[in-house]
Amino acid sequence: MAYQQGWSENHPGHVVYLLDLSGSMEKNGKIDRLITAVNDVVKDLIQEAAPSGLVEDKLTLTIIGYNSEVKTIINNKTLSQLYSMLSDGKSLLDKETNAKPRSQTYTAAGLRAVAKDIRSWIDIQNTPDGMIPAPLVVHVTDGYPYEGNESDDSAFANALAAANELKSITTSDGNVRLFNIHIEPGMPTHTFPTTRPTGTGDVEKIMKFLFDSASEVDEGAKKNADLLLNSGVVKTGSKFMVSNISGKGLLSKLIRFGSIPGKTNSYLETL
Amino acid sequence: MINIHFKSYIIGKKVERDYCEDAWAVNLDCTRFAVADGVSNSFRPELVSSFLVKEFVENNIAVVDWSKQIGAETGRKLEKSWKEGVKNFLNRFEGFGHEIQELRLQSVGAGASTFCGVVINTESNSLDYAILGDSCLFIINDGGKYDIYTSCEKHKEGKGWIVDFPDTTACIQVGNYESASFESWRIGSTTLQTGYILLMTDGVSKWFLQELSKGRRDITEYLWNVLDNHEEFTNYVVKCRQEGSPLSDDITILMIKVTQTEDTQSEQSDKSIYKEDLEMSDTVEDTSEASVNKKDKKDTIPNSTDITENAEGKRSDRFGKLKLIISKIISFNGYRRK
Repeated sequence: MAYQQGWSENHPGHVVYLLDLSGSMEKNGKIDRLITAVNDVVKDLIQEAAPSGLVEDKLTLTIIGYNSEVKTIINNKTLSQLYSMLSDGKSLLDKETNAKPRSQTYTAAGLRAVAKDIRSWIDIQNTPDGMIPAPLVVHVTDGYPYEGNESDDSAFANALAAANELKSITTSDGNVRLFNIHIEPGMPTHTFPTTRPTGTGDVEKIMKFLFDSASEVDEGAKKNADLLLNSGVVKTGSKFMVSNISGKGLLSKLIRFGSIPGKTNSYLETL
Repeated sequence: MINIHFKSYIIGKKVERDYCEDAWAVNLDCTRFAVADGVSNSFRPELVSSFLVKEFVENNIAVVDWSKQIGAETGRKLEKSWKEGVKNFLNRFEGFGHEIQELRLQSVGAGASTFCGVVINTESNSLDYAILGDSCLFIINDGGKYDIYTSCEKHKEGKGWIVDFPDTTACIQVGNYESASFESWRIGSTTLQTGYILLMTDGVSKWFLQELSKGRRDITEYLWNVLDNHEEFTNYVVKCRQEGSPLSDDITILMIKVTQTEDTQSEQSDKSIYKEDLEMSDTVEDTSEASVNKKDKKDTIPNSTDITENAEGKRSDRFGKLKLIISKIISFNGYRRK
């Protein structure tokens, strides 16, 4: 069964945040909201891994930003390395420097960079039993694939192909899971939908892309959603996709939800 | 004469000796034994688990009253002790480290622990138990019959027990004692049998059940006889972990072996069986004999008796005299009442 591998120092997990840093993220305080949420979640991940006061390296984190370029902002850092960075007063994300919104939305390029990062991470894993937890990717965007001169359809197709390639990467624990979080107010609200959005308009096209490119929620993540979000919000067959979400702290909750393994914990062996 | 031997093993998640959320304690004066598993997703859970086991074995509270005590005086003492421990812990940090620990404290709110305690009652020939959460009590009689006692859901199917170890467990939580309602506890009494009594935290009981499910009915004997010191046990755990076994959490086992021999020796009074140098010893044998101090032993479980359906082990007609043999105390981070 997939997604059963717990994360520990012997079996560290890997999380990638793929952040849309296109120009539109500057509007309506979206980039500020995103930076705050990511910082909060990283602190939360650190505190969860430090029950004794010492940080246990249960996972590594990569943060990749994309617009018309792709930039690796945090490259495969352990929690203790992140702890050291933050202890030294360094910021993970700064909207004036490494997270400055600008230009267009090269989603496909961002997704391909994530795939490259994950393949590199898998290559260097050396777990005692060869088991490697399936990585998690949290993609936060306010828009849709757009690559300048290319037609919309081509950009969408490229991005979907890149997402499918990313999701096809597998470890002994299962395939990479991709969680799409869309944060543009005014768009239709979708929360872990089980059915593909319908309609033929531009908005529906975006929703369909987010739905199609997202992974299906596994049983363990469904349980996590019951605990961390609202009970019943994720159903069997739900996609890892939300759109037009609002509410204080909800973006943080969603990113955090997307950053923990969905390991089921029941033990039902017959004696 | 009933002979009681015990051994204990406790190992942290990382086989380290400096931090372990589990705890165990034994008081041979009144044959009280306890293990507790600090809930990882709580704050300084080891303060809770260690307080509970110590409190249980130090105070001769009737097992049936234990959960009520947790909701009263013992609970208040626990809260005071935990808060003091937390304050001391937070004072160790500055700057971002302090911020992280404060964040953790706010996030998880309180310390919490499961619990499994037993009292061997020689006057009533009984074994009284109080269990909360996914810590488990196993009773294995001389006939090799296994029984499991836990406050988790369990049911019998096919060849043996199925236990659901849930994602969340009932526990004693500092500052919110009602969270562990009386109904959550598994409290009862069963006939004392010759054989083994095992108290385990879930880090090892999951593995133990898995081994049984593979047909390893000798696993208890293996633990008792083959794994003979802390190093051997540690090596075994490390090997199992490398093979992906469920022995991944903190693990604590308290193993009690109950045997019966002919009563040929005269009773000795007040002979101490304790030795200063037992603590932290890897391999210690003590075959001292003693009669158990039975004063104030009035544990009765009148309404919650839960006699196992498999109570078919050898029973003693008279458990008036007890011989305690401490053999191979293999432990650290444990607590043994003097």
